[in-house]
Amino acid sequence: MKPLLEIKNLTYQYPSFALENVSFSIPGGTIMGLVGENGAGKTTMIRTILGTIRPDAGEIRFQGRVLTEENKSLKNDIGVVFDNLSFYGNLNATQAARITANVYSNWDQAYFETLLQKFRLEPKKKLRAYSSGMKMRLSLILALSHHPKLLLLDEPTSGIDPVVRDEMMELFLDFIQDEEHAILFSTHITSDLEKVADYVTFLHNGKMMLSIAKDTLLYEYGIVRCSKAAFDAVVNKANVLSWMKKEYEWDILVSNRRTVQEQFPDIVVDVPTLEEILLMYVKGVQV
Amino acid sequence: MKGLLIKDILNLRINLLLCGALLLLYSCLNAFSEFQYSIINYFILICSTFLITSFYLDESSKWNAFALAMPVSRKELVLSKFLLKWILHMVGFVFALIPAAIVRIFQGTLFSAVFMQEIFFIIIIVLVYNIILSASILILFKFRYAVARTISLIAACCTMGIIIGFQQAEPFSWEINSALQHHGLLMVCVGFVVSLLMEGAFYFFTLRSVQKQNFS
Repeated sequence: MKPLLEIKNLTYQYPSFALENVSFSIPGGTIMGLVGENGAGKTTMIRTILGTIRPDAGEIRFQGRVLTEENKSLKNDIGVVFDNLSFYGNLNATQAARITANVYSNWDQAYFETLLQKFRLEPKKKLRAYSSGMKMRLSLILALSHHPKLLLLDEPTSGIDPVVRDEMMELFLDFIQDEEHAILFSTHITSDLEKVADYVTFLHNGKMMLSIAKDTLLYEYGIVRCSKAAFDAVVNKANVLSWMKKEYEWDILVSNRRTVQEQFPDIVVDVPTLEEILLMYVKGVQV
Repeated sequence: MKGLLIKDILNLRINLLLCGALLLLYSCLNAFSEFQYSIINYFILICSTFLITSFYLDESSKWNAFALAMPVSRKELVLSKFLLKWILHMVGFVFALIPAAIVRIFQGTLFSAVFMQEIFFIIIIVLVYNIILSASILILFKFRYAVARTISLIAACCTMGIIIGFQQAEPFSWEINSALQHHGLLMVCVGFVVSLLMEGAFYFFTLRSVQKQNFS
């Protein structure tokens, strides 16, 4: 599958934080989850892709073309959802749509009104009276109504109730049904990614720890839970990524769960969740 | 860029409608009294400082970062504010002209030389504020809103104070009236050229500053 979005060696330096050499690509027809703890660099990366922050180094290609401010027309095919609705509270949804319609060249007013009805939003109600869930739904509707090829979502499900989150996940899965669309979805709620993501990219302290298919993570990675004595044996033989000493046991993150299970049949090797893998990378000792 | 201007006009429409209502009230109360240059200053100043309000609304809703995520360039972001400034100048000019025209209609002197003198005066005031507000746009983009707003308002109020001072102080007011009477059109043309040149310079420096900025 030809990548829809390609990031190569993206770097940006803050005074006390740096996004360093981040590289990955998103094929069409897939959802990539961008996960990391608060302050890992997820928002910085999305804003760097969009050009609101100019990167110090690196290249961003969308549909094979370099994405810069000079060819901003490429952004007509990119839909954006940030964690806040950036319209003044005195406006209503219809007015927000009117503003957005005059920015994007492929705005579809009929589709916008259909989505408003589907998500039960009142078009004339002032935005300051919307709840956080309603604001997020409106952001998503505005992003979808110009028929983008790529959706960039920055923590869209933070503070959203499970019902609305479930509706959004369904919408995302519908969106990528053909091979022409893709989603990059940043979050620290890993359970959302386990439901919908095809690929996962971990960021920690501005560095990309891994970018891998979600199924590989869940089916091949494992967490070994053992004693100190077993720890030494496992560390020497398995593909160890990180380890963490707990009160009564040692946890070891390995990338070859089945091999470890065969070699050490008496040791507990659990199927990890994305959250556990994230914690092992963030809090564990890297090997 | 059309979307950016629509956003600013929608955000400011209540303010502009209130200003229009105040203007009508003033016109009704002062239809037969002497022309009040200071009130004209006030209306033009109010309309122009709506520009500063638009920056406040943008900052409070983190609009600039969102706009740049859309197919909008930094150049369009800056240009839209300069165009908004001119829209507000035109609104201020019309608001300022209405009471003058109403007074003249009641007095039967709508097309007199004195009325032309008042129109020239209003245009020159607009051109002076154009320079001040062009500088304000640079300050508002370059510095944080709280600081920039203070600087811009002080600059606008000082300008208003100086203009009112010249109007009130003899023999300056007599000389200004005489100059407007005899050389009004020339003064307006020179004013346009100077104002547009300075606006061009401020636009250039603003664009250069914004091109280097990150919006997060």
